[in-house]
Amino acid sequence: MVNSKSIWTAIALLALFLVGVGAFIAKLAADYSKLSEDVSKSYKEIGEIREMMGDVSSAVDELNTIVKNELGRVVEKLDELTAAYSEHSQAISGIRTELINLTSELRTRVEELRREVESLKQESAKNEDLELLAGKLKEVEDRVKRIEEKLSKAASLEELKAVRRSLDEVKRSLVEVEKLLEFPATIVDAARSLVVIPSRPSRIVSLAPSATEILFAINASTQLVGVDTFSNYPPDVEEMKINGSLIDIGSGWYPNVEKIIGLNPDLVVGVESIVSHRTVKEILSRYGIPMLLLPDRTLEDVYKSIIIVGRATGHLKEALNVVNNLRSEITLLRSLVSNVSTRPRTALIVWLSPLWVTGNETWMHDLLVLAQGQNVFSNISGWSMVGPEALLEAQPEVVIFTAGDTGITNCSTVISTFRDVLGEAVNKIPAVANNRVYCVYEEYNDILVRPSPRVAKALKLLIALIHPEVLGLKPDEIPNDVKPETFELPKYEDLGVEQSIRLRHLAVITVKVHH
Amino acid sequence: MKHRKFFVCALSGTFMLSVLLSLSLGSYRGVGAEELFKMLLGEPLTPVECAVLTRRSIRTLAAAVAGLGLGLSGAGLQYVLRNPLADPYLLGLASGAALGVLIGVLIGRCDPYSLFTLAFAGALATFFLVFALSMLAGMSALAVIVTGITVSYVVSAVNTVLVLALGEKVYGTFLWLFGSVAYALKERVIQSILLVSIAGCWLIIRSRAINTLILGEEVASSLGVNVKSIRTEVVVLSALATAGIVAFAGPIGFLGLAAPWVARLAVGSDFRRLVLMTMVSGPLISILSDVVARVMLTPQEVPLTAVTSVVGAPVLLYLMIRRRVWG
Repeated sequence: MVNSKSIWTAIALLALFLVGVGAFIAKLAADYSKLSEDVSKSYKEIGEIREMMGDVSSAVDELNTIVKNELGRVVEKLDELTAAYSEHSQAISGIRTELINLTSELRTRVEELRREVESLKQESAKNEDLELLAGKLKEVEDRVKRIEEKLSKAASLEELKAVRRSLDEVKRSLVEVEKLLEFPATIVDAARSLVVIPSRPSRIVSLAPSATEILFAINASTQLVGVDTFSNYPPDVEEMKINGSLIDIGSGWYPNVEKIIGLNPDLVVGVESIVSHRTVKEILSRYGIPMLLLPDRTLEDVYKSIIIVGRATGHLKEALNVVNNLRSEITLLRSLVSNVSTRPRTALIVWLSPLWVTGNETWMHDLLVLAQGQNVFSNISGWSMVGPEALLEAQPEVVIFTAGDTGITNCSTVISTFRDVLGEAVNKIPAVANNRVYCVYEEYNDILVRPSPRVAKALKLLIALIHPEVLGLKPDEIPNDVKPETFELPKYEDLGVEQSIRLRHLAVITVKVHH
Repeated sequence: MKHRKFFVCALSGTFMLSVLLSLSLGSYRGVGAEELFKMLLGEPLTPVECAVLTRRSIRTLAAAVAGLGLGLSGAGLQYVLRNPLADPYLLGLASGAALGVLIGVLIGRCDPYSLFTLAFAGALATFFLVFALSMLAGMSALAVIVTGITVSYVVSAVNTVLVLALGEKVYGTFLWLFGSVAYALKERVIQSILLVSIAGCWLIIRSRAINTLILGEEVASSLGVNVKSIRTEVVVLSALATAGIVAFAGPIGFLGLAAPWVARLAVGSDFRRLVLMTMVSGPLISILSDVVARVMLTPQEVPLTAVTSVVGAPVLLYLMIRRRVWG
């Protein structure tokens, strides 16, 4: 039995269901209408796009035809180009290898010349001639660099041709550079005057023993016709003076102008420090004779002099060699004394009465410093007279006296001379008390007192006297009278100095030079 | 009188000979009397011979100018200062020029031009100091001599200190410091000729007035000669001439004293003749000395002062003794 209550409940449930369904349908309808609206909009858009698509496709069609035509032409051109390229490629590759060879060749030449100029520049920084040379070389180097860059990028024949043209230019400027190393030579000498040497000199007159030694060291001795009275090294000089192949032109202090003019020289070499050489230079210039004044103060000046003389006489290569050997020997000697613990106070005496001592700004001072000695008279400039008390005051631990032409033949004379003036206070001088007063004679005297290519040997002598232990000598092995007959300087071989060490020092020098 | 004429002729003859000797002797053996005659005959010489002869003639000219100037200055000063031992260096010129050269070495100006200028300036500066001081002291003969000697000593003291301080750098100037014409430059010699000839001409023009000074200053004044002004003139002119010479040749000693004396012994003490004779005797002594200086130790150069004394002294002494014999 179905009661009314349950019927109403059923109806209510149904109505509720219907309402729910209605709502759902209404929602659906609303969604649908919105969707249809969107769709119709989309259709509209699609229509628009369709329209545009039509435009695009026509444009693409147009483009296609154009591309087809152009492509044909491009292909044609490409064919042409490939043909041309295959035609020239062989020639191009030939030229390219040739150019590469040329550049590398030029590079090495430039490199060589640059090295030469670098060391030249080091030796005589003041020389305008060499400055010019260095400038030119730099230019050439830059050009070669630019050419190399171009070469790496170059593709066409035209470009390669351009590279070749610039290479030719470089070649021409290299010839110019080489000309600068030939004659006429223009040299700025120590008196800061420009000396022009028109051709390779064949009649040279030397006014100083050091200049004579330099001329012999760089193989210019056959060009030498006259030397001063004091020139005596190498021993050939004395012989040549006797047999007449070298003419004595008088004392180096006061050279005989008439004698020089009579020798008809084409180059005269003097030194800066002798005042009369300036006047001689002036007089000789009236007769068209070029004269060089070599710098002769410091150790650097010795190197400079050698280079200047080398340039002036056409023996630059030999001069550079001599300087390099000197530098390497001096570096080697420096390395030997680099570890000494003391720097003995040293007095270098060049004349006894009056007492003349060596101060700074001299090559002797430079050598003394390199020998790890301490110059007690470094407050004096050049060589100067001092009183005997100055020696007592200076308290030198080592005294070295160059007894060459002073007529003194025995070291005890030197000490007794000091004693005459200072009395027993002479024993307060450490060098006297410890028996370290040395007199050097003959060749040993000459190497010390001349700014010549023998300065390395002089340094070795100073080391032997100041630091005998580093040369494997005992202090009492060294006689007070140091002559070649009584005392022999140890050889490098005997010192156990290996070649490799020497080479390493050479490398150090090379680095320094490039630096 | 007869032997005086002979003397004049002999001196003039020797002078010409000395010039030829100076041109034909030297350390270069390739040029001698033979080449000299070749040149005089107009034959061509090689360039080297030509150069050597040119150099020798400049040297000879330099020696002649130095002898002339120093001799004339010496003669003039001996009269106006009334002192037979007066010589041009009495005025402080030698030490002044040396000071100039040493200062040149000190400041590093060693080229010949600077050294010449500095020597000339040094000589003149020292002279003006002497001159100003003697003016203050009344410009009497004694005043000039005393101030000259005093200033010379002071300047020499400075020089000595400089020589010691400069050490080895001064070595190359020793030949100059001792006097030498070995390195004489043509232009400098020619400039000196100008100064020397002004002094010479003036001495000749004023020789009458100077001559009166032999009789004493009072007599000279009474004869209408202005003693002070003539002394000033001679002192200034001979100083200028000497400064020029000292600057290119250094202080050549003994010439200024010996040349007037040789002349005086030849022609007597009349200044008019003496000044002319000094023009021969001065160059003669200096040229002969220079020949000896270059030949003595060839190829070494010897300072001229060392030779002038050696050459000049015997001549002077010989003449003195001979004259005494002639009475």
